This record gives sequence, structure tokens and C-alpha cells, in this order.
Amino acid sequence: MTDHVTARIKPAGDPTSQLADGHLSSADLYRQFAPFVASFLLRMGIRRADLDDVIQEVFLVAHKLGGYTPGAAKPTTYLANIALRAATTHRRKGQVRSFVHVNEELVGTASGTTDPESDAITKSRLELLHRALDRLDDDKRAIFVLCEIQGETVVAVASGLGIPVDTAYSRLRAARKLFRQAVEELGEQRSASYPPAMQRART
Amino acid sequence: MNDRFKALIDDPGQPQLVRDLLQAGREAAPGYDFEQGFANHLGHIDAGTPMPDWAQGLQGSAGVGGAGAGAAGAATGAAGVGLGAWVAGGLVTAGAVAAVVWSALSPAAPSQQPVVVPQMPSPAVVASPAVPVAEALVPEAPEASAPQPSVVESAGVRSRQVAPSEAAPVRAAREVAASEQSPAAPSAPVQAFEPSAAQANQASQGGALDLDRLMGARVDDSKVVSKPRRPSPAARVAEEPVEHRAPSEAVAEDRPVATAAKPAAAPLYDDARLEREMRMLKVAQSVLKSNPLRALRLARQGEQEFPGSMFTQERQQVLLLALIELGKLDEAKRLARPYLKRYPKGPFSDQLRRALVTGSVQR
Repeated sequence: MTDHVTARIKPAGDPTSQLADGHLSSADLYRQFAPFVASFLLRMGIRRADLDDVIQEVFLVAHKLGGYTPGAAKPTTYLANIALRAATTHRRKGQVRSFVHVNEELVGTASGTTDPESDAITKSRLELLHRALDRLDDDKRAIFVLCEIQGETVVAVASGLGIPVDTAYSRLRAARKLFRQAVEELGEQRSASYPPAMQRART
Repeated sequence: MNDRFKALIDDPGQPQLVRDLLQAGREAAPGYDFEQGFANHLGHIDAGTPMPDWAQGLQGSAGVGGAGAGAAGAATGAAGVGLGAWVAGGLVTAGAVAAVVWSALSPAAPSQQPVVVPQMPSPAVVASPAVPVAEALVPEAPEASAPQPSVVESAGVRSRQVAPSEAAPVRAAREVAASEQSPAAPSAPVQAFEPSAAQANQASQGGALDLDRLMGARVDDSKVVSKPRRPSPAARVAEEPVEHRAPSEAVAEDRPVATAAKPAAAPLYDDARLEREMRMLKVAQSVLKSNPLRALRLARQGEQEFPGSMFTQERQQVLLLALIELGKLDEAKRLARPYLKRYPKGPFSDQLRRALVTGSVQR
């Protein structure tokens, strides 16, 4: 998880570092948080082929909104709020629900390892992860991804998404329940097809 | 995590499979070219790409990273800033509408028109018949050489706007950028060009360094309004918003309307002029991959300065490839259609066709 304090640190000589109030331009935001946004969008079900388009829209909107000014939200959750809207819109436009069917190549390369067995395990896990995430609606999926995968706090996410903290907790609780159920169900369906190493890993 | 909840991945009481899946999700690499993405981002900003429709509801929370910037952008958290931005946005919109009306009622439409007039096409341009889009890789009328107070005036709508005078040091430091942005007098030596303040302001928004400086000053969408841009006839034909267009958009070859608006675009080809054209083209080609935005700007300016020259075909190819590199595939395809029709077997057409199919430029 990227610390908020880290977000304020800018390299010396950077022309954008003139502002001492912690304001981050969209270029600053991109440099520091583009990987966060990319991961979030992928976990929200954005196809790899659409990833660049959506990332560009997210940071363009951040630019149009004047960048990030410190407040209750962190830069990450501020961007996540924009990214959630972008992801929802794009998925609706593309009529795509399942990430896995159209994004195999990402799953295959995501681990970055050269060990075929390890890659196979990672691929299986990521497939299962996204199938389980597909069971959640966008609101629950967003808060689940942010809190459970990207390591954000519920309070920060609530601030970023502009929802009450209690609502955020409620959604996360429901998302966890649905996710566990989905994993259990999908895991049983797929267990027979797991590679041996995966079987060992599960025990 | 100091929340009431403990993360599932840290909870040994959770099923191992759940924790494994979450761990896999955390460790998976996005597999995305962030460097290229950053260049594309700067390109979108410089090109004035408008806010997507889905984000319009976020307008009221501009610049606030607090709760008010959330999904409920209209929430009370950012009411103060949001109201200010809303009022400013309204003023900008009202100013733009007024300028359009005023421009339409004033056939002469000289460049001294106030406020956002530099963005407005002249009535003659608007009324001109549609031309093949590609032929309109399209020159727009050059800027008036005198500084335009109207720019400052419109900048005043949003207080964060950088006045043209602030760009002067940048202008001095960046001769090349200034040269790119300003259609110099045809006979002027390449190095001798001295842009106006308004042009320097325009130029200062081109490069990444200057763009960052402007963004650091929190100049964003207001920049689009106050930019002394002038959409070309082709821009109107293409029915694209003004904000989409870079300073010198498109170029028409042999377009009477556009050439009539130009100040003395001499057709004579002296050595200095030829050298300037070749140099611009060479630079545009060399930066096509590393800085497609600059390549695009150079190609457009070249089309404006040297319409119908012997390098037109090659320059237009650079322009189209730059659009592809910037991810503007739709626009590139639209403009490439008449180009490929005109040069079906041209020496550059095959490369262009491949780039249109793959979405990237291969050497």
C-alpha cells in the first residue's frame, strides 16, 4: 500500500514539485499511482485490450478535476473513485462480465516467473480469483478489491468513494461473504482440474 | 491496517484457498507499459481531450481529494470548492457561447476579438462546403503576431490560468518548441523566428516539461478555454470539438479558404524555406516513436506552412502515424481513408496500412 506521505515526496528538480501543499498534478499522480490504478482496473474486470484506454481516461479526468489536493481521501482512493466509474462505464459498454474469458494472456503472464509449474498455479489462482470477483456487483467488488487486494483501509476507501464509513464496512462484509461462498463453490468445481502442485498448495 | 476488520489475507482463520487467491491478486503484475502510458497521458492533455461523458458528475469536486470527491461528487463535502468550480465552469461556458454568437454575427472576425475568439473559426470557414477530410490535414490561420490580451482576459475566468507573459522564459529556452508552434514567415530563417507572447504561451504548453509546470500551477481544463487555438476548417468538417484539436490542426492542401486567411504564405521556394521544411520533416520523423505529440505538431505545422509541397505525402504519413502512436486510432483511420485513396501505392502507404491494423508504428 502506498503511504500517503510517500505521495507527497517528489523528486528534486521536478517542475511539478513547486507546490508545498501536497497537491499532486495528474502527471504526479500518474508517476506514483499508475500501477495501482492499472491493478485496480484489471481486478475490476477491465479487459487488457481496453486497459490503456481506461487508464488514460482515469488520469485525464484527474487532470480535468485539477489533480489531487490532500483531504480525507488518499491519492489512491481518490483515483480509485474515478477508476471505478471508468470501469463501470466501460464494462457496461463492452457487455463484458467475465474477465477471465477475454484476458487469458494477462493471467498467463501476470506472475512474471519462468517456472511453468508456478505459472500454472498463478494462472489457476488468478482465474479463480476473477471468477469469484465476477460474482460481486461493482460497488462490493470495488471495496473488496481495494481493501483485500490493494491493502487500503476501509476508512480511506469510504472517503475516496464518498460513502459513509458504516456503508463501506457493510459492503465489505457482504462482499467477503459472497467472495468466500464463490471461492468455495468454484474451488470445488475446479479442484479436479488443478495441477498437482496446486493440490499441494491447497492443503 | 488499523480498521475494525482484519484483512482476509492476514487472517489464519480464513480458508487457505481464499488467502492464496488474494495473494495471487496482490502479486500479479499489471503487464502494462507505463512509460508509453505516461506519454499518452501528456498527449491527451496537450491535445485538449475533453472530459469523458461519464465523468461529468465529478466536475463539482474538482481538485479535492477529500470525501466530497467521491462517487457522490455532489456530496456536501466539497461544497465550497465545488460551488466555485461550478460557477467558474458556468462563466466559461457562458463566455464560450457568447463568443460563438458574437463570432457568428461578425463576418470580419479578426483576431483582435475578445475572450475566446481565437478558438472560433471565422464564419467563412464555417460556411465552407465539406471537403475530403484527409485533404484537410488542414491548415488553420496563423496567429496574429501581437500579444492577445483576450487570452489573459479569458484566463481570468479561472484564476489559476498562466498568463502568456509567464511563458516568456520558457520561450527563450525552447527555440525549437517555439518554432514548432509558430508558422514563421515563409522567408524567415529557421533560427530567427520570434513568436508572439500568445504563441509562446501556446508553445509552452507543448513540451512535457512546460506542461508539467503548467499542471503544477493547477492549470487544467481552463487552459483549453484560454488557449489561443483556432480550429481549422477541417476541424469543423470533422465535427470534432475544439478541445480535441491541437494548435495547428490539419492541413488542407490547396484550400482557398484557409490560404485566404493566411498572412502571405508565399509559394516561393527559396533555399531557406526548403531547408526549413526538410528539417521539420526530419525532426518529425525522428521523434515519431519517442515523442509522437511533437511529431504530430511538426507535421501539422508543416502542412500549414508548406501546403502542397513536394514533401506533402511523406509529411501527412508522419501525421497519421503520430496519431496512431498517440492512440487516436479512430481519427487516424478517418484521415487515412482519403490519404490512401490518393496514394494507394505510395512508398509510405503500406507502412501506414500496417500501423492502422496493428495500432502501432513499426519501423
